[in-house]
Amino acid sequence: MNNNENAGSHLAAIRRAVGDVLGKPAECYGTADGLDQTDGWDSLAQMTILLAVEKNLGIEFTADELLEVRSIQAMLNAVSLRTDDIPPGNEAQ
Amino acid sequence: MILIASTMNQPAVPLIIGDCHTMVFRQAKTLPCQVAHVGPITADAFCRRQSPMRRLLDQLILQAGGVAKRTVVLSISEIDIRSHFWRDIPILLARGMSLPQFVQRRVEGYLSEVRKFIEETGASRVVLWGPPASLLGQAPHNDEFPTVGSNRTRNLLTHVFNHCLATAVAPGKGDQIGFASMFYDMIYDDFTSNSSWIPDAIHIPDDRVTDCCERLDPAINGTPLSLGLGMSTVPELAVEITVTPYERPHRDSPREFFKNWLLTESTAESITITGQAFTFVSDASVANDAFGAMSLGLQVRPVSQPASPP
Repeated sequence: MNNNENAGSHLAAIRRAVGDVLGKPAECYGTADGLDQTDGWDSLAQMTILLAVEKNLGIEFTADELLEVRSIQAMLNAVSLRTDDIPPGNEAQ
Repeated sequence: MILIASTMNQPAVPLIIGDCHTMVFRQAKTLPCQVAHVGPITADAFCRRQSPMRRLLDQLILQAGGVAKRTVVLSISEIDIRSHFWRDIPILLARGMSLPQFVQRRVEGYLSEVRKFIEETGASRVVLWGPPASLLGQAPHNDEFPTVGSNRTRNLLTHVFNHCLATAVAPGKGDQIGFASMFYDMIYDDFTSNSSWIPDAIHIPDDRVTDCCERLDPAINGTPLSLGLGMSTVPELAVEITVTPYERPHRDSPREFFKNWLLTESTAESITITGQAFTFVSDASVANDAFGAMSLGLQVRPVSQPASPP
């Protein structure tokens, strides 16, 4: 699987985690979704979402990431740091 | 619920705005002020410009006529301590962030936003009205508000928060920020709450309004710390926290995640804390469950006493 495919599968796993926590299909969520931007994604759901993403991806966010990551895009960026993937939305980097 | 009440129809009077702990000042007769109750706003939400509660606070400030050259009293942070801190601390402990580091991080973020608020609104000063003492005994909890931890432990956490905040706004810091609190009037030496201060288990009653005004007034008028009991600072108190596994009965869905997660406390019967120094220790031995989260218990004890077996 190349880097873009990895990034795609990461995005899918993140969307699935968000959907599981917020109670809607994963397809409802995209990289623009995040805390205060998305219905139901409030500060209490925030940590639940991050932990669900960890479970889906088999990773562990650092303490700093848990405090700072607040959107699907930010989660993808954090994951890409571990895998050298180029997350969707960041292709120009 | 949103309420704006003016005890004096003068635009230059301080604006007291925030959570339900603003409401006692509706009865203020000795302290000219304007009161705006935003609702259950957290410090975390205040720091997020796009959060619904921050946007509501900003709207209420506009409705109140703005705060340029006025003092603003912000009553926020109780819910952070009662709910978010308790939820987040064990998770972050397991990732190497200690309790003091976490609280310090939160306080620094909070004060940074307060400084921006002062700059952008033209407020002359912001006074942070500290959270009250906690409910007696275990608080009810649900998956939206997992307010957990015993009375004493939650008060200890409030104290840690107070210490961070007071250190940051101490005399000589040069900020236009003050900190006032009734907290230390509301607790006994062992950090349990004095129920006469919170008869409904949540709010300072209206008949304590004069005490609250007398506590708030110096901070409004430039005193950095107004904490009562002859306190010129918040004494440093290191709290020993050990983490032990805790069996969570069941979990049915991600939203049930925190519902049955209780941070239980096991302490000595006659613990006395005020004036005694304890060494802070954090133990990140935490059991992970299938959601990658922590099921654990907390123990607060003097460092001289051995830990009880889990």
